[in-house]
Amino acid sequence: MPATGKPLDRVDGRLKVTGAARYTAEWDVPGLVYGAVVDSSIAHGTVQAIDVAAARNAPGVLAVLTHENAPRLQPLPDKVGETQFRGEGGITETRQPLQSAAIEYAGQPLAVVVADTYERARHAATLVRVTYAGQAPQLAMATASRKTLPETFLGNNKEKLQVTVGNPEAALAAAPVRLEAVYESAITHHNPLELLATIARWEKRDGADFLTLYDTTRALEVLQEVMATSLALPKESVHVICPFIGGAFGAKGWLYAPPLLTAMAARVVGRPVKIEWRRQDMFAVAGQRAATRQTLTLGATRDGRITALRHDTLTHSSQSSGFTEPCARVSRMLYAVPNMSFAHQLAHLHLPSPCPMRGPGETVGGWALECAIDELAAKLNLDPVELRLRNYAEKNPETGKPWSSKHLRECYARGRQLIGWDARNPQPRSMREGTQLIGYGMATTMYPAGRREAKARATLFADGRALVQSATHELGNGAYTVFRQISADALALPVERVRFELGDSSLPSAPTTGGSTTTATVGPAAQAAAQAVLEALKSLAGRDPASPLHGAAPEAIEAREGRLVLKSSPATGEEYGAILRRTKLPSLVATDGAKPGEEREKYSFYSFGAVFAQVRVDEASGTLRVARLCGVYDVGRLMNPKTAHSQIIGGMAMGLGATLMEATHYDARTGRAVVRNLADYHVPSMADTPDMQVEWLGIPDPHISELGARGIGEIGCVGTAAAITNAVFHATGRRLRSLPLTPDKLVNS
Amino acid sequence: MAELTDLLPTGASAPDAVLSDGSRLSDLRGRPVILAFAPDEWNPTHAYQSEIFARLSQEFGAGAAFVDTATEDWHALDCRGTLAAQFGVCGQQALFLLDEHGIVRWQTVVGPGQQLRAGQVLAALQALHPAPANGASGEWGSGLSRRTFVTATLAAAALLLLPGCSPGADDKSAPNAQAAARGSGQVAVTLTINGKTHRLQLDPRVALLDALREELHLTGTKKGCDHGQCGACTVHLDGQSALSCLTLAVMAQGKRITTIEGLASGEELHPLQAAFLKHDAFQCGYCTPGQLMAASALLQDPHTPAGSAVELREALSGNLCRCAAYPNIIAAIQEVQRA
Amino acid sequence: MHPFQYQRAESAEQAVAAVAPNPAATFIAGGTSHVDLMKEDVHRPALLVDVSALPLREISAFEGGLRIGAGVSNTAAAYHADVQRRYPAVSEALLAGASMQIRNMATMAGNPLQRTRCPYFRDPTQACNKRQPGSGCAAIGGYNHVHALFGASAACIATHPSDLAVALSALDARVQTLGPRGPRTIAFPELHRLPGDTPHLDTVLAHGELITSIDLLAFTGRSHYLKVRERASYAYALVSCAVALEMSGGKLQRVRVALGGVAHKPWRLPAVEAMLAEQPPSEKLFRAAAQAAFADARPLKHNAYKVPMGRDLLVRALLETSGLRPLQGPAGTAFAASVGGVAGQLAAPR
Repeated sequence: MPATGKPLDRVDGRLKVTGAARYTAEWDVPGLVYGAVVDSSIAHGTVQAIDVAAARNAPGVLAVLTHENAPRLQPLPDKVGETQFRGEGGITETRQPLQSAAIEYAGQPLAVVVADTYERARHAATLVRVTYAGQAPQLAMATASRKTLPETFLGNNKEKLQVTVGNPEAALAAAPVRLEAVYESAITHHNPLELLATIARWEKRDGADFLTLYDTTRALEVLQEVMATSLALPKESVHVICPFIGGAFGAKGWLYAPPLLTAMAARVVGRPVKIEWRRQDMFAVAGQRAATRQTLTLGATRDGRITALRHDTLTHSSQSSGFTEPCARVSRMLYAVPNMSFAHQLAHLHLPSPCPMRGPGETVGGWALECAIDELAAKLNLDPVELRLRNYAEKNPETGKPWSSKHLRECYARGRQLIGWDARNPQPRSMREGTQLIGYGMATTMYPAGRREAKARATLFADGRALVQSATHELGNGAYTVFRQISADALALPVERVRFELGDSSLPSAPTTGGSTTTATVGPAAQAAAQAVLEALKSLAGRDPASPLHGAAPEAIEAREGRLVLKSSPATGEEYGAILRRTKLPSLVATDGAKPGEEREKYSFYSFGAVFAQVRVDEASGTLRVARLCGVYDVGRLMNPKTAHSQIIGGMAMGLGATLMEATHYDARTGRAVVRNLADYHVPSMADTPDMQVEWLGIPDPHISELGARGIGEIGCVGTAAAITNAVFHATGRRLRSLPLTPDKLVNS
Repeated sequence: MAELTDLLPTGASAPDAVLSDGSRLSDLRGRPVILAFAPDEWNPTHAYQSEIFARLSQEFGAGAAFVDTATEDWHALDCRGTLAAQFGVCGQQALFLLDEHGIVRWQTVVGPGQQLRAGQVLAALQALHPAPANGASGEWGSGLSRRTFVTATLAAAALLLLPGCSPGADDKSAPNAQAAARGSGQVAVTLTINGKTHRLQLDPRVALLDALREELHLTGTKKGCDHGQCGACTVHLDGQSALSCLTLAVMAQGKRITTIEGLASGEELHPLQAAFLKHDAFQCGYCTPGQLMAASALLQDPHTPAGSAVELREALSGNLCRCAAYPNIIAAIQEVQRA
Repeated sequence: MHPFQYQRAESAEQAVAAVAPNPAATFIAGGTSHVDLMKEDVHRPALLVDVSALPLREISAFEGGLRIGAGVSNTAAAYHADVQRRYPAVSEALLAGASMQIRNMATMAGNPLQRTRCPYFRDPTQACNKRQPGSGCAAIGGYNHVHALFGASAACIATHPSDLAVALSALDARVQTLGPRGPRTIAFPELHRLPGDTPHLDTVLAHGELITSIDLLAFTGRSHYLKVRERASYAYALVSCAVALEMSGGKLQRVRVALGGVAHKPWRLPAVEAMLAEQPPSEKLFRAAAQAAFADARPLKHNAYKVPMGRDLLVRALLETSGLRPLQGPAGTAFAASVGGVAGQLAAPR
């Protein structure tokens, strides 16, 4: 019986429910002192003077770092792995902290105060006096003086941001039915419950500097490289540790001011330093989803065949980041449209840097597309599901490649059953209960099914147990659990006898956890390592005269239920541990890796799904509640239905939050965040979150890997916003084209 | 808290026993030994263990090749086993430091959910074998070099699983030592947490949350916003749920404080903890202690007969979960309510 | 957080004597608002006098009404049988506010003294006359989504955030205090001030004047509280409304109405109250009253939505209190107060 596919309880669950799981800020490092950050109250200008005397003299203060005295840093690399760091379309803010007097956004760190206690550090930080030479900040996309047209997303030549397929202008001119609509989405923040934190400790190892970093990172190896480059250290002299992450959702990967400031402070005071950022700070330094203004233009025949699609995005980044929310990710592949164009314009503002947030591009870009499709359906007087079926893409419309696996029709069919789609009155504003209008809406969802390269190490012990390790991350994705299941199957051992470890840069390399790629990436690596260690064990047994397998070629031996046996005679064999014990080996280790192959060139890899929503709108007060959400997903084979269900409903709820309530506002004059805490930035509470019905098709993807599993971290978030927004239209007859749908926008006026 | 009365006391002679690798404990006489008892369950603290070993190495002899030993050998002394019983451990996580004569020189019991701190082990080792005044890596009074000590310790590293512990009851050592260095402005604060009394010297500005996490290393209580806007720091004060981030530690004196570390009864999980596990009522786990403390207080509260899903959604709206495990949390609570 | 001395008071007199002479001293009880603002460096007391242990935690019968000790927790008051039955608006306001944990900590005197949610007040880098008199008001030309429609000044456009205060205002509760000059009684509607040119003063309380109880006067009519917010629970009101009314012979007798989230204090509507008195209740009448109530609203750039929202909320509150429309949930619970209710709750299409 394979362990994969079973709804195993989380193996780290006991630690999490007892409070024993250790998150970054919780490491007890002897001699630890505390850093507190002073940030900029203006968005553009320079620090004219910074008076640290009062802070320096405050009780317990060990040092105050400013741009005037902080250690110098080397520039960030241009690229790490395949990811472009710098320039238009690059992923990160290239500005390094405390290296100059220039101010590019409000909330930018200007000083770090280090003291012996948290309270003293925080208080001393309030004593630092900054004199600014301010300049007018640019805070509006429409009027920004620096606007660019980034060529690619993160330097990936397969994801160009300015694309034309066919002849969309001519097709639009010829289309009997045309629709153009503008959709706007607000700045949103990931707001994982765990605060950003770093503990940095310097020491001498063999006479050389060595940095140990505990950091809230889902990118152990990237961070290791960034720190090594910035601090001019060999990569091996940086050790990054993070066995548990308290949620990330796209944050905690690509912005490095927090660990760099901590490492600098620790260097200066010669003691380990912890900086745990305040929630307020996270609205400036933790990354965000930028606001978007998207124009969708559709041309169609009267019978609902879409002939042209244009999706033009205006979004923004900071002064020193080229990150561009790739809003056309859904539009470019979802429907069989012969003529398409996609453009992304990036305004550089004096606002904090954006970064990926759950479903980057897909969540807000898919919202705009799927709302426009709903509008077109209404215009054509077609059922929204029917319009989608009439434009069903049998292959990728941009590249012409066949899908690796696509069963979206089944998702639509099952979803409409679950919600009771056909029993609704399709007429907008026709359903009511008391003071509330009732509405139904739906949308398609998708997510690219990426896979990258990873390595893993497998160790068999003489007592018959095994350990598999890879430098991947546990951020609620169930990595400890799912990779233990995969490893157990690959080692032909019961899950109880296998452990999986992660979260340490000294383990075999695994990429950043993001883009819903981790299962498809690390799973095969764990399998490869398991296979390698079993091969080594087979050779050992074959060479051992005392083994019943003596003389057998490795190809003649197979692993079965913790034993190596002869394929031809499964009764002949012995337990793994027996082989090791007899050969006096405490353990046997093998490291191996796995990477995608040419299948990536042959097929287009995506997951799909359909989301249906039922909403209640009280127009008099402007309140909107989601009564039901149903989602049916085609995500390949599931490794663990229990953790998968959680991840998908979590994604749907995050999509619900973006639709109903999430927005960060910055003062339009100063650029200072005026929503910067969890009382004003509303994430869905328990009272906002309905029960969600989730089903999946469970059809393995035959091409992605032997596991047949695609990632599921983000697909739940995509699609939900449009399903809810379209349900609001059905309830009220009103098209609201600006997220979030807060009461001020919904209220009768 | 489990009873400590049967624990083999400091100064007692350690009983002999057969170890998991077939050797005898008495074979290790002549060198100090750390014995760590832990439940035979997995804890992904590979890095954490390495960290403690690295600290030990740094203090007692650089370059000792033991990290691999620790990585590859995570076998524990089962805290429910025969040897554990001989040491009076009986299901608890515990750590004993034996000197070269097999005498218990230091021991500590680890409460459920608590964690061992490197500083504490170091302090105990230092106390056992004070470093020479010149700080050089010289011979010790016992005739063992630091290097020998580490090697000897690691010979017993098959035994060494450090699952974590915290200051024992009425522990006056670690926090107060730190506090003394901070000088004036401190006030004496006595806190009763999970049935134990802790006497601390604290800055009056210290929030209960920071006292728990930074001073007492009870890090199960989480900081998510520090302003009463997320619920992650929920504890019980006199049985009612409260936010430790908005409670000054100095104002929590005289109250019965219960944290997530005190929710289970020894190794036995609180029914809500077990139900959370079963229903996958968390993902990243960061809000989970707060959810559990809020829910467990709610179940005891006569005021709030929250039974239906709708009532629970309203009653527990003060505990944000960004992973949105809410439906599973409700399912878990309702299962416990039915039981 | 600014350093402070901490002192636990043994009696109300001792507490007043400790705070009154020291301009940098302040009382602390539940701490839910105070500690929050101390961490934001908005409140910077040098002496904290802890009044949480004072014997002010009783709810007792008092002149036909109820006397609620200042230190009674929001939870204890909300679930007190007499409060819930006789003054449901109080329970509804309390239970539709904050979270279980905060209600357990916050006291009945502290709740109405919580400070504004204006984001500029809470950010010490920004101009705010309430936090730092004379520094200006960044909200007037800034992001004023949660700000006042009524009674604002050129110095301050902040709103008062307490739900409880709105209910207590509509019920004409009384506040008993002990100050340096002895005890006094303050009518609740007089407790909070309009900003004028001294917006740093939220209330008429003198420095060192301690609230000792909140008195609910004898009342046999109906009361009700409604609240609109951006999240289904655990959020401050955008607009709220408390109504207390008595009916007799099919007519409204005395009607008292207060709006929350629209002014620097709970906004009583005397003209509307007069307009409704002695009238038979009807939706038409209530709509006319709501129209009148907002006639002199002065919306800002980002808060104009509060006008239609407030008007309708007032109509709804009057309809529900007078019995022309059923409550959305059991009286005295959050479910009666929360407009929109919680998520879920609908199943089959209709």
